[in-house]
Amino acid sequence: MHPDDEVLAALALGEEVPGDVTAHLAHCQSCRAVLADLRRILDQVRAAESVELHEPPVSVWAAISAATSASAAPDDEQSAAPVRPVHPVATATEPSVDLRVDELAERRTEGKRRPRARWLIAATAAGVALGVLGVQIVGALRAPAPTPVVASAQLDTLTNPRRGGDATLVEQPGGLSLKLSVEPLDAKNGYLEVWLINTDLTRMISVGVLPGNGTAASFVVAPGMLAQGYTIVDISREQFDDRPQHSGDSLLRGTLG
Amino acid sequence: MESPSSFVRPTSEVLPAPLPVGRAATYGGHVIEDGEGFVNETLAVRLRSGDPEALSEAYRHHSRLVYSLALRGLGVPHDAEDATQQVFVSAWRGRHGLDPNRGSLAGWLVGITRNVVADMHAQRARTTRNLLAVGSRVEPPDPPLDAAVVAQVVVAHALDRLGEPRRTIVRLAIMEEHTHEEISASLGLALGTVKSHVRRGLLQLRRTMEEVRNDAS
Repeated sequence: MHPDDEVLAALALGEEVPGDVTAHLAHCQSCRAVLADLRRILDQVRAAESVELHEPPVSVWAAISAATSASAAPDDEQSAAPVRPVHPVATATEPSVDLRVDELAERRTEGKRRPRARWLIAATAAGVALGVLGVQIVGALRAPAPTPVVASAQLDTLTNPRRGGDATLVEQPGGLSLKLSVEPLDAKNGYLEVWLINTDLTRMISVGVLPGNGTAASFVVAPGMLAQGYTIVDISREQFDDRPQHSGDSLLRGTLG
Repeated sequence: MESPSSFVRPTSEVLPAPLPVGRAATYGGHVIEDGEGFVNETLAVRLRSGDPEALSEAYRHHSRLVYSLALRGLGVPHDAEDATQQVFVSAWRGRHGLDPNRGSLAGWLVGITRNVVADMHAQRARTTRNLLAVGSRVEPPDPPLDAAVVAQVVVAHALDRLGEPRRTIVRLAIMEEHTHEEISASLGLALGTVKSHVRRGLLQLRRTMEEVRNDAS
């Protein structure tokens, strides 16, 4: 059994590691190779201190843009998508909180859009589980009335895949409700966010925040999300870092079907 | 408890980060520790499919890397600017050759940069030969970008792109050789958090280096 990469990283960094790890290394060439690679990268990082990175002048992008814009149009399938792509727009001045704006979020905010990240921080600081952008969070104790199930998904962990919960999309008056039932998840120092990811793998929307230690929650979802391809349910761990986009640290995931 | 005020946010580079979606479809496969690989994979898919916005995003993310490499390889800002332009225009025109499953977007761009720099050196050498032929005294051409220089610049860029507070912690721990305890005290983060950031930061850098190696070599 090879030690975890993090243990090898600790060793490369000169930290103490358990004796059985060193014993393993003595006869495992592949782990020794990883360790050697990590040490080489440490040297490179130290050497990188003298490396200066430079920003090209703005004229360079202008030239690239001019040279490529003529050929850009024919392939551009994104613009025909029913939901506005949520990837960032080109202007650097655009505030980052707006990067994930989509029709659903716009509808929820009903014209009084506020920076979401700040809401989250405020909400958690106050220790209050509250709806974000109108998302409705229902406590575990409230028994849901029997409702027609539109789709469901088994949510699996990403490491050593095993079932970690379930998601069901049910009809309710005025729309759809995404109901989650999950094992207790560790938000560490952050919070847990629920996403619907499009099968085109370029778009996702945040459907809300899973209350701390919450094992059941439900979220209002606009009808038609499924038809538009937002079928991958993803629960991620997010940090209070003012970065509204997905952290990449996914805990559970599954595809509605 | 980490809070947004417990570390100093860097001011050098504020990029509108793209949304990470990528390995989403192949769930069960990969632990996504950092957003970066995830982000680049999606970006690669979008670039390949001809999304012009993806090119501008790729430029925002990687133009410093490409330009800094070109500057190291060519020595003159004017030429490095030309090279950077050529790299991104070639990347756009040759986007169908980009395989999102192999290596990374950064690695692919580094590969193109090395080719462009080598071409420009070849041009210079031809000019030099012509000049020598007429008896002028000309300095020999600079050596092209070698792997060690590329590795250094790529590592510096990867380090620059680690999210905070990881970037600061890795810099303090590895470059400035502060102890984990010192970093923990000065940033107000738990010792375990600091240690974990250094280890994962190192692994993250290794992953980036591997991706670049796979694609650029």
